[in-house]
Amino acid sequence: MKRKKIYISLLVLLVAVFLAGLRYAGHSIPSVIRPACAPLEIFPDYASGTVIPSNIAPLNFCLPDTVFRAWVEVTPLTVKGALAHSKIFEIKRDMVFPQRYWKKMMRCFDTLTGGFIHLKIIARTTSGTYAYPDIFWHVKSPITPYITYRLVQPIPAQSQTMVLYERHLESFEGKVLVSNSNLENTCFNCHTYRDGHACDMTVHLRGKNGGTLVSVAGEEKKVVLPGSVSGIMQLVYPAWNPVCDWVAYSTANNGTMGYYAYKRTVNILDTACNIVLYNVRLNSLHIDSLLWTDDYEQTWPAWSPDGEWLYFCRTPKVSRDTVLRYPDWNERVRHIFFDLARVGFDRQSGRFTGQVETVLPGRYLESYAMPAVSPDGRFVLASVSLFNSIPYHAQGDLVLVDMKAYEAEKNGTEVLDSGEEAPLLEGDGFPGYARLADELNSGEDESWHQWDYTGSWVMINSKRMDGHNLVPYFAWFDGEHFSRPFVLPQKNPRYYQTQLKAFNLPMFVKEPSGLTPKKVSEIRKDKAEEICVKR
Amino acid sequence: MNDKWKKTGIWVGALGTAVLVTVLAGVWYAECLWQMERRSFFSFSGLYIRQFFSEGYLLPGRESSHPLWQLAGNFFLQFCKGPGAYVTMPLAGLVLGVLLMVLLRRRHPALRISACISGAVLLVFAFFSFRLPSRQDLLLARVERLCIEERYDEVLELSDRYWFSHPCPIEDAVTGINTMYPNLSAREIAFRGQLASYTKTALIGSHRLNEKFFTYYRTPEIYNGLDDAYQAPHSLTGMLRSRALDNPTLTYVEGLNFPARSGFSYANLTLSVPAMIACRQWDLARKHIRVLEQTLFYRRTARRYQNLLDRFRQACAQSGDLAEIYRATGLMPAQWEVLDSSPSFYEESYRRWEQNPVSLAVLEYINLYDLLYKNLDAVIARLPAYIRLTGQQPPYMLPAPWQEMFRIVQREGIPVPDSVRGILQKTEWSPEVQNLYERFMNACFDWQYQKITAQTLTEKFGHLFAYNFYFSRFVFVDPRTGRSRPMSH
Repeated sequence: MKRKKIYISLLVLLVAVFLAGLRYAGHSIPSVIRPACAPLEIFPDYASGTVIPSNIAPLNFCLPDTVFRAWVEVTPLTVKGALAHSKIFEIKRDMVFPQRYWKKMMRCFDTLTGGFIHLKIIARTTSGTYAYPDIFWHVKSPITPYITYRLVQPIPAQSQTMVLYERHLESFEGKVLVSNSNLENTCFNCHTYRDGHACDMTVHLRGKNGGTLVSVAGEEKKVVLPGSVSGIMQLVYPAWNPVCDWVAYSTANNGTMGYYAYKRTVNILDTACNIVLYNVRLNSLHIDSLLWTDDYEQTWPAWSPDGEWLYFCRTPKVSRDTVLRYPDWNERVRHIFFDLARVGFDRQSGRFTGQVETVLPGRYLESYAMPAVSPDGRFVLASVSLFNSIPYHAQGDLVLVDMKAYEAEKNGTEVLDSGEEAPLLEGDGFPGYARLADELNSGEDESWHQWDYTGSWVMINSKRMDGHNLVPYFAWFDGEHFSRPFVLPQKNPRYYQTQLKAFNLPMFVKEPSGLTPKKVSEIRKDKAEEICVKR
Repeated sequence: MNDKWKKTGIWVGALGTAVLVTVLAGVWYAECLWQMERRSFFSFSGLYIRQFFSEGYLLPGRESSHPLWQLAGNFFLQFCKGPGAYVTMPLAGLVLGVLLMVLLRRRHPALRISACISGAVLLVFAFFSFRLPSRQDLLLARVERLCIEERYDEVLELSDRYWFSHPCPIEDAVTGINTMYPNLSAREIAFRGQLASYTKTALIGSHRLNEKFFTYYRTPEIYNGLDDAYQAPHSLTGMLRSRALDNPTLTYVEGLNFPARSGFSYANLTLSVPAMIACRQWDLARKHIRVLEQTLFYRRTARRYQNLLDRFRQACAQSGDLAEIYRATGLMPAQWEVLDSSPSFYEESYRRWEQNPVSLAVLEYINLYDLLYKNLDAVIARLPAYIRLTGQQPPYMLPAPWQEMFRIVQREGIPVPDSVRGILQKTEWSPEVQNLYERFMNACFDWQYQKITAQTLTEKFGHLFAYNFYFSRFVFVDPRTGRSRPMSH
């Protein structure tokens, strides 16, 4: 009996050794390796030179279908040398970094000086085994750890699942904050935060029992406009003043109009827009005559970090002549160009001060939208598109405006402080204080951009991956130039190859939110507080 | 083998069968319920793409997005429609039949229990499948089956009955706002949307979308989709024109909108892929092909499209002449389609036209771009060449901008070559109509800023004018005969 057990154990051991041997023999690195001239195309495009934050989730990627097997050697480096031993991963095509390994590796880097991740790829392909040119990822300072975005269908349709999703950038974890499956499949939109704090947020719920959900210090309530006003105004595109309780909203009393533009898909045109202020503590809506006018369409409010300037976009109202000349919206919309403007704000009185300043005037085939101010207040990143105020439908590109240079030019003083070099160059037909952010732009649309709260990173939404769906990208900003943007990493490296939804309105958030779909559903059923309107 | 083992074996076998049937039926039905649009088992409302109806699928990092689950899900999804359902139902019946037969021959308690459980599961299953089918459900199920079997005339016969009894108010044609939908229930809207999609399928399939226009002009869902009914006349014009040319390739906008508006099903997605290839949106085409590759039914179609994509890309790389590319690959884009409205493509087309001025296709695109960018002088200058190529026929693309352009030409006194004068005269509006048109646009402007109501607007101009204004645009030139042909009953 004892001898039988020994035989069985030996047999099991032999089989195990044989199987292990088979595995080893099948997957060993071939002895004949030829150097490849061109770099291997990896998906997503995390090419050499990509700058990444030190707290980002693993940059999983996949190799082309021509590859049968590959070996990826990963080494964390600084200019002084390797920080840790390199590790070789043997993969088929999908390189999925173990999360524990990735975190351990990223902890090696100093948060100030950063370092490099060196990737050496050997791949067995149909034509032989090749060693491809090395890939270096430049590791820089950490990024704000959370983002929230809506996952929506790129084309409006009758029934669709829509969620507001919170994603932890340091891992692949995330959760649904709002889901329209709990809201009778109705739409919700325009979420915003006060200075990136998840406990202070607003989001608008549409449909029956809709209203604006306002969360102040984690306490949620639903507010609605009084019946006398709701017919002529909808509150959209909110921007919460980072230092006080005022939220600026754009209004659109006719909702949206469909028109056909870039690539001829259905698009949006907001009309009769003005800007109003809502005080979340007082639950009152203030209409300031400076930004409530019959002469201009005004939209896309954005605050400076000190809360003393409101940036927005405006255009003169469409004249009767223009309507007669271009009776069709499809044509007329091509002749609407928005300026980038700003106005002072007194947060004590809740009034706009001074006159509206036009920072960048709109002109033929140059229309500005979506200003976003950097945390130090010096730079404004705005969208410029061929027409209208919806850049993600009209070939939007990004423009960087140096407000310090703008101030200097306005005051007629020297642009530069001592020892500083001019970061912005003239050209592209823009004034001296603005330039196209060519590092960020592609042949497709770029929009929905936001600065990270450290000021070192920007997030942009781009259609560059397939020309249709918006996907978030991140880029490093060194005070002068942006690095090459890289796409939001996903656990499944092939995720973007088949996903058909668009990432809408991505926002940086400093901490996780306590909102849940159930809570939102309950708030929606609650009785709404009516907003008090003051002129 | 003694009796004990035999008995145990039979029990285990019977219970195993019952569990298997239960699990299969449960998974199958759960999949059915998962699809929001689905009403009953026999309503084969299409293989809906899971991303659009399942939260878990689209969220990155969730377990449900694991490829294995995707594959399993897609496998079961096949059984919700067409051949899958035809196969599964008889198979389930066969299992029950075999069990009953064995039961009758050998009266064993385990088999009896097993058959009862299986039968009960199938009964519950059938009950829920057939649960409370309304008349609308039955109509949809019937129309869908007819569409699958390509019996389009019968579909149109059934559809006519419904649409004639539920027309839209004609005022909506004037105001551009559909006043009917806010008063309908969500269920009714969904029903109308689905029926419209089947009607549209039948109209396209039977090549009668054009001639049936005046039958369905008060059914905006069919021509413009449910969302923006009446708000995008260009798409309607384009679709009519495309269909009139017997060109099965959807345009870019149709390719994107049709699946979205008619339900995100794999079947609808297959329609969009050739459009994406023809419009040179190759990345998007590749993405759609990848989505199709994940299914069992459409895997072969996906391979075919991948082949087409490769050939098309290769042809584009080898030849600059669009017409030649289409001839080589057999893929014709919709005639009026703007291939890509980016300025770079415009420049490229212009360069090609300069190299090869006899290419009508390239000339058309350039003209279209010039129209879009209002380069009137360039269009006027190129018109003689165009007329030479087309045999004295006016361009048959986008009539509205052409009419608009001629109005501007007249108003601003732009000098026109003699060869163009004839065309101008043909498309000229009479001063009365012109006057009325301007008054109408003024009124529309007032209505937009809520100075007058839609009702006043309609009363002011009457139905006749609204009818003429909207539908006089749909006069187009038949490319085969070269004659303009107004659309009429």
